[in-house]
Amino acid sequence: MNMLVIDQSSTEKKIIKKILKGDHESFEVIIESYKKLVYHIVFRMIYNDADREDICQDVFIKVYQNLSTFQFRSKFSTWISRIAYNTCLNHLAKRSPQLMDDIIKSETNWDDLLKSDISPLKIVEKRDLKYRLEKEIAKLPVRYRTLLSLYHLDGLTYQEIGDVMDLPEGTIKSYLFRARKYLKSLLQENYQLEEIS
Amino acid sequence: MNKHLSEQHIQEYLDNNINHSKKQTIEEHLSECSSCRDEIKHYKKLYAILETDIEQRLSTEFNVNVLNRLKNIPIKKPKTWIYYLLGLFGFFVILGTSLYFSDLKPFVYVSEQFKILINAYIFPYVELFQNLSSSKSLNYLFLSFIIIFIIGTIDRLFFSSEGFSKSNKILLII
Repeated sequence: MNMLVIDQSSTEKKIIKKILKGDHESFEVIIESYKKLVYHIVFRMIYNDADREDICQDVFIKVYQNLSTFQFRSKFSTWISRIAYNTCLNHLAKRSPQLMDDIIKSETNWDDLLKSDISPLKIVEKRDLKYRLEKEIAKLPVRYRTLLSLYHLDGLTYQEIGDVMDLPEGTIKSYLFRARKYLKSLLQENYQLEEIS
Repeated sequence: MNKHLSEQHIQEYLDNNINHSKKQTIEEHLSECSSCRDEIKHYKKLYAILETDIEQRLSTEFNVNVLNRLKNIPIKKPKTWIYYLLGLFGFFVILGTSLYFSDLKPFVYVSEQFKILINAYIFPYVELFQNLSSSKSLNYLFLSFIIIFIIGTIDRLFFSSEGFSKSNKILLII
């Protein structure tokens, strides 16, 4: 199947019109373009691995159902992020206290180890650093984790994150500052500068 | 700048969220202060880790599974007709109430003014239209063109995006 990557709002408009006219197969373009964004939010907010795929599916079902209500007043990515964020919040509210299993799994990519010029030991050390930091991120409140992901992984602006999380821009800046300050202090406490540079 | 950089300044610097002069001042300080350079290194490492992509663990059948679920799910239609209906209802309620409680003289005055306006501006065009041709069939054809154009416009504006093109097609067939 030919996959298109949406990069312009005009293309999005055309695809949305096609879907609204009944061509539901065109929705695959939307799934393919925004799967990563939705997964980032779900990954940061939900720690039960078994639930993640179902929640991602639910997000896209909600996007499809409510497609006719999207008025192009905001970016489509912001709208989808908001749906993903609210879906995760609803899920967490239902499953309180949230399940904390499968917090982190090994992310070793053996192809990288073979291709890279850096020694395998160094890669393991770096992986370990990321692994340990991920564990610390997991301990942060859900809002902090989400905005770290939206800002650093998905490149959303403060205003867009504010729209997604329904918070003022100033609060977003403040949360982001506090989260990074905390994580940096952990990094500083546990690792020597030679290790991390 | 003798003092060390605050963490807020460091984060703003790395986010590129500061003006040019402030950026220059920070860079000048960094060239002289090893402690702040170390601080920046820690932050840069943190940023690099935060920007490392998360390994996606969605199944390869994810897209197909979503599309299969969509087959049984209808798209919610926006209930705009309810708002039109409510608006129309509200309009008639306000109009009826106003007429019931008010003196009708101003309306009569407005109506008279309206007639004068029509006589002054519309009738010359009607006469011009009538004088265009002595043939009545041409007049009817022109009139039908206007009616279809109005229907097409209403269809386009209120019912569907396809309406306008459909009406134009009908017009072409005629």
